[in-house]
Amino acid sequence: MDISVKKTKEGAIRINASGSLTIESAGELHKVLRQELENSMSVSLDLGNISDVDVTGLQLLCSAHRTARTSGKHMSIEKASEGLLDHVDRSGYIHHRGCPEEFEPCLWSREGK
Amino acid sequence: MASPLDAHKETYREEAYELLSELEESLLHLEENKDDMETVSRVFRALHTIKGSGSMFGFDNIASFTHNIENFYELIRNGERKVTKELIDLTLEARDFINTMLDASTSDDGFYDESAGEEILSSLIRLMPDQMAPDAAAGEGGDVPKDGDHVPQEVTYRITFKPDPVLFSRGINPIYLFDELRCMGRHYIAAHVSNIPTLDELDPEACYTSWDIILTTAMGIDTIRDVFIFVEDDAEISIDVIDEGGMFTEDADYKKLGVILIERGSITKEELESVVAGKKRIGALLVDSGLVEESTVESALCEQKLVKDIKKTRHAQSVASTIRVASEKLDRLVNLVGELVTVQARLSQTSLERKDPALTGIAEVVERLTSELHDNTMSIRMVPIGTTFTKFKRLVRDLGDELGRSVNLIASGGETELDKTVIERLNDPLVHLIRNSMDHGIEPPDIREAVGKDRNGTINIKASHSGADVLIEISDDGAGLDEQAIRSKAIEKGIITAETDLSRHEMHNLIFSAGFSTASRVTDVSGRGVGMDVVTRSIDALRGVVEVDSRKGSGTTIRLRIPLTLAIIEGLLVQLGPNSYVLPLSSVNECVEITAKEIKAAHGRNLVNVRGEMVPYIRLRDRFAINGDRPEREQVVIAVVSDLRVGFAVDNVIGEHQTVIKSLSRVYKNVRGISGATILGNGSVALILDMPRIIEDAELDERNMVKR
Repeated sequence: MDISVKKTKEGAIRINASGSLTIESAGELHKVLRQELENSMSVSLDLGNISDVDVTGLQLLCSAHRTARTSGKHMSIEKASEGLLDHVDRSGYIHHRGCPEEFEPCLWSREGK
Repeated sequence: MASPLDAHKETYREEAYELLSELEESLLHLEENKDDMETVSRVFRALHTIKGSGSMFGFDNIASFTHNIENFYELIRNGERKVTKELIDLTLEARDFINTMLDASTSDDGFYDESAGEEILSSLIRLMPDQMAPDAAAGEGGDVPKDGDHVPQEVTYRITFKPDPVLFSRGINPIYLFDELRCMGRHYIAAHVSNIPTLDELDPEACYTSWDIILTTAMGIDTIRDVFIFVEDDAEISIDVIDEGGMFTEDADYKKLGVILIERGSITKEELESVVAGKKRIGALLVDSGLVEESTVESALCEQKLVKDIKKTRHAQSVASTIRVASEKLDRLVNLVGELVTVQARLSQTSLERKDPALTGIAEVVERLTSELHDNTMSIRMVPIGTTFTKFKRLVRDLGDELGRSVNLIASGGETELDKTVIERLNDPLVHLIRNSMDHGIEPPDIREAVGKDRNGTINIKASHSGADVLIEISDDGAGLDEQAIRSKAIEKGIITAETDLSRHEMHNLIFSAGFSTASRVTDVSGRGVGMDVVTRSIDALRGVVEVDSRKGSGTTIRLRIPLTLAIIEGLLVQLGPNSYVLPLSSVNECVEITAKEIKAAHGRNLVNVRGEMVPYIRLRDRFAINGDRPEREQVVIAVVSDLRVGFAVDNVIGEHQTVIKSLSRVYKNVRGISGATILGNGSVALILDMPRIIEDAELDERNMVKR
């Protein structure tokens, strides 16, 4: 998996990840996300070039969103590849509503997709 | 008395025959569109159903044979193999073999040639060499329902899947399990993500997700369990039936949300009761009180919706569904309606004679009801002719192979409906006509090419409504009729003499004479001397008309005009002396009057002037040698028969009459000009006139008179 991190003028972080987001590479992205969410108020992800995904990848994104939310930060997915969206659907991750304590739209809400 | 199993077996057979004809249609379609995966799936489904229900009802031979054929189609469905002409050929043979096995299952000894099936299978294996050897028994196929396991009706299951954290590190991706479930039927999959921690606590390789899956399927619970066979040690799995087809159909509503949640163990009954004390919606209440996760409520709500939807569909299906009725029962119903129509006519007549207003009122209502009942009964017996056309596609294909000719059959108007009995009786003459077109009409490819035609011949078969008749046209783009050959053959057979002068139309019609065949060679297909007269006889029996039109070099068209039904027709009741006769109303155009003065003015010629057009007429009084004087004014019923306007002079026209056709006894069967009889309101019998025959005979008499 290739990961590149960019900082915008406003100080927001933009992470571009491509390749496979599976059990083999989830650890790598986990490290990057943890670090960037600690240091920045806003993190956005470009996942337009993700080829393979499995449930570990989805769990990781969900966890990152939850981490941002509990510390009052913002995390979003700007672009998602077809493969990723297909997996969200097939794994039953797509939801009509999010978790109860959420104050911003759930990452997996049908509307958000 | 037949046991319940026998009844099931009978139902299976009926369904299997239907599936086989569907299979045939799909195969023929597939031959033309070899890459059409939708058709491949149709073929597969038909085979699958024949196999599945076959093993359920003890048709093990059929199940095991079909299972092997199904295997080949599975490869094609998976894109591992391509459809070829050889494969279609063999599958069609296999289809015929299944048909043979079905036929044999009702015969006394149940005998059929098993080696034929083995031959088909070994040919298939030769065609796909690396395909595994055929399975010994269908039961090993995996998804064949076993007794006790099989759930013929759809059942809805709730599957709770809570994997251990180590699941992913064992190399298992649950999505593939879900994909397998997805193929089984309607489904809803909900992932519960509430256990996923924040990044600090997250072990990226651990599994924090659990799932609820609602699945509606006809597969048994064991098949579902098999999906989870590799993960059962690493997960908590429970599979519950939440709706069994038909069991809860009386329920107006599916379970309340709270009940679903208690059943799933998401909350306890006490917790629920304490919460429902408020008045908010239960889902919101439970989430607010923190007893359950939003996603749990959502999944339960989805379960509720899915089951409601399924119930709705099932209800709609049962409302719109059809029932199977033995055709004898329908025949009996039609006979009874026929009798009722006759009695109703008597009632109407009696009420008219009595001049009793009360009775007249009742008679009118009975008349209206009878007519509605009649229309409805007839419509039940109406069947689209399309299924017969499909059979012909197969016939043309097989004959084409046999004769070395490539012929396209283009069928249209398959939706045209005809009485079931008529369709059954039409089959043989149509087969004969198509065989004839293939053998004598369409030229071999080389000859076609030499005369500048497409190498492939075309036969068009078209059905359409035309008044109370159905018109069936079979046309080919073959060589057409050779008038000279027909003439010399007819002279040779003594059908006509060398001096007989015939119009083109009459010449063409000679091919329908008994014993007539111009084919110099006898093939398997036609030319065995059983000529087209067989066609004429069958169509006559249906009170239909055959016409032929042909141009040498460009093809032949044969037109069959068949009445919609054989049981009851609209007739025109006429009187001749003391007797009544019925003319089929569908052919009647108009009625005109003719006076003795006009007859005299025509100088003995039977011609009537209808608005300037001279129409020949036949005096039925003379034809039927009825004694007594003609009335001063006669009525001439003008009918159109084979595009010819001909009049029939009668004493009096009484009016329209719903005619229930009764066949004549054997003694009168060969009387020309009469096609049947009917019983009138006063109990007397009226004969139904066969107009084409009467015209033919009159023409013949005329010709003989001229000769003399």
